[in-house]
Amino acid sequence: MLPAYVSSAIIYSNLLMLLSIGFTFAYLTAKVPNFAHGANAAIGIYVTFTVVKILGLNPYVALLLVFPICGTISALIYRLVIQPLKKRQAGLVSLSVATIAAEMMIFAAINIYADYMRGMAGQYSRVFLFRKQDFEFMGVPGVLLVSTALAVSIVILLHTMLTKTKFGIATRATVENDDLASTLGIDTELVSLVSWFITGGLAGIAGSLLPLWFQSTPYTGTLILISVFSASVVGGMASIYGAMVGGYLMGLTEVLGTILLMDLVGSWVAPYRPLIPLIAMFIILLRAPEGLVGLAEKIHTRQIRASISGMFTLARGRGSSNV
Amino acid sequence: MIEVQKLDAGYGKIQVLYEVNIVAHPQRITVIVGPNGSGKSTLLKSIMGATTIYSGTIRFDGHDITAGPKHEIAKMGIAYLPQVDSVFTRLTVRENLIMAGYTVEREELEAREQEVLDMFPFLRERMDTKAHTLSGGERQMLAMAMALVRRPRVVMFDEPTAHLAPRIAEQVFDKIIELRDKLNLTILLVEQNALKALEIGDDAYLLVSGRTAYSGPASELLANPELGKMYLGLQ
Repeated sequence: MLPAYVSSAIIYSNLLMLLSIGFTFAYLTAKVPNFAHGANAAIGIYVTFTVVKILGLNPYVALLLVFPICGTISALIYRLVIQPLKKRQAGLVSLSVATIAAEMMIFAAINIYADYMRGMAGQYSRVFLFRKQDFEFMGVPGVLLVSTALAVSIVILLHTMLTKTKFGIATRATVENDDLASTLGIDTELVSLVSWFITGGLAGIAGSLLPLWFQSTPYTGTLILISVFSASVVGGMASIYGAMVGGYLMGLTEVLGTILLMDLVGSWVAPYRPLIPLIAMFIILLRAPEGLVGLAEKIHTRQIRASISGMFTLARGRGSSNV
Repeated sequence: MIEVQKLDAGYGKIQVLYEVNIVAHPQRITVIVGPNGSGKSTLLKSIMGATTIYSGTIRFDGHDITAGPKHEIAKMGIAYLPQVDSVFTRLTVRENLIMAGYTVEREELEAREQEVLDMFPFLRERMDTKAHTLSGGERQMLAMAMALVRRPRVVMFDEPTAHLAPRIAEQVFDKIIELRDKLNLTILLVEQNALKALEIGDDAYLLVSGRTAYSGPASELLANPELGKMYLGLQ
């Protein structure tokens, strides 16, 4: 049987990776950080709540529902908030503030829903945990297996979509240069809309699995956004592959780092857990603002330059020996 | 044929073009020259629907395309090669060509790719390499190949020889002539190298401060010492 902290670290990293991929992907296509991304995860949490507590079904049934529900909400945010503002040439600040407003509206709606459910269905809906409703396989919690399988298959699916399908290549083209993409006949607005649908769906999946291992509340989505944002920045906002690395690293650092600190200085440090992603983001922004992927590219470029200059030196050496 | 009539256009509240009239006739090279900041690139972008149009009309073969969506204008058969970033550097050459033929059916696209690769044979060996590894001239050729995949009726070039070595620039001009003569395309060419552009052009427009200062045969503008000296640096 795995120690609980190992399960926590792996499950949290899997889910954070899915959220970070979505956050970065939405940013790359629409060039707007979607601060309502955490709210989509919160919707996923409450879909699972509804499936378990109201409908009395297996929590994994929620997985079938969250992708279309959260995807549609995310696409609606793009269509009704981002697109009209972009048409009016709104700047990055206005667009970011608009997504914060969308997040507040969803957050309020979730609170209303939670209170309504408590009053109408008599269910305690503001703090819940569904570990008991999860299955176990050879002592390993089901959510660990499912979240790992989902994280791996989603990464493979996303990579295949982006590199092998025409729409995926069009998405990468739009990310690199949306002006050029549109002059080639690519409907870049449709690309952004579909991307936001996918990213919302991914956030919903991550959110729906959260209550199976972590205590969840209406605030969970808002709080997790700090980690998602930091993971995306650490990975480098220019690449979803960076977000994968950043998400996983941040997830492991946050959970294992908190446990280590609790061992070292005491359990009073636990509520300060959100400081870990913020400090990581702070260090990355100071030392390598382009993120881990950018840093890797920089090192690769340096190596190429070094090998080229080495070739020149060799050639010069040969030249002088001829003389 | 592209007809621009009394076009007032710019970016947001900043107006760049004032009552510009131009006509680009089929199978001819129409050259647009002028000093820096005269609105040459803005004119091409306006035709592509990428600027703010205050008044005036843009017609393509009689259809009004004023401020139409870029992807719709592209579908109608107008290809635009921007001054910079004319290819997707993070995509491979093959992926760039697939994107160029985004609106074309798969089988048809493969046939067109072969035709284009016959015109630009060096691309065959570079199909799976990322476009950022190509030289400036090679990228310009890839951009042309991408335009041709769409079998456009009009190709608009925005300073295709900027930052290229003279020998490579010469090759680009030769290709542009080839597009007119072999593929019967309508060419709109914005170029800083006014002398060379007017030499290969049929019709010419001189833009000065967003207004049309000359319209007529390219050879006449080339021979006009006053305008040439004042605005184009021609001796």
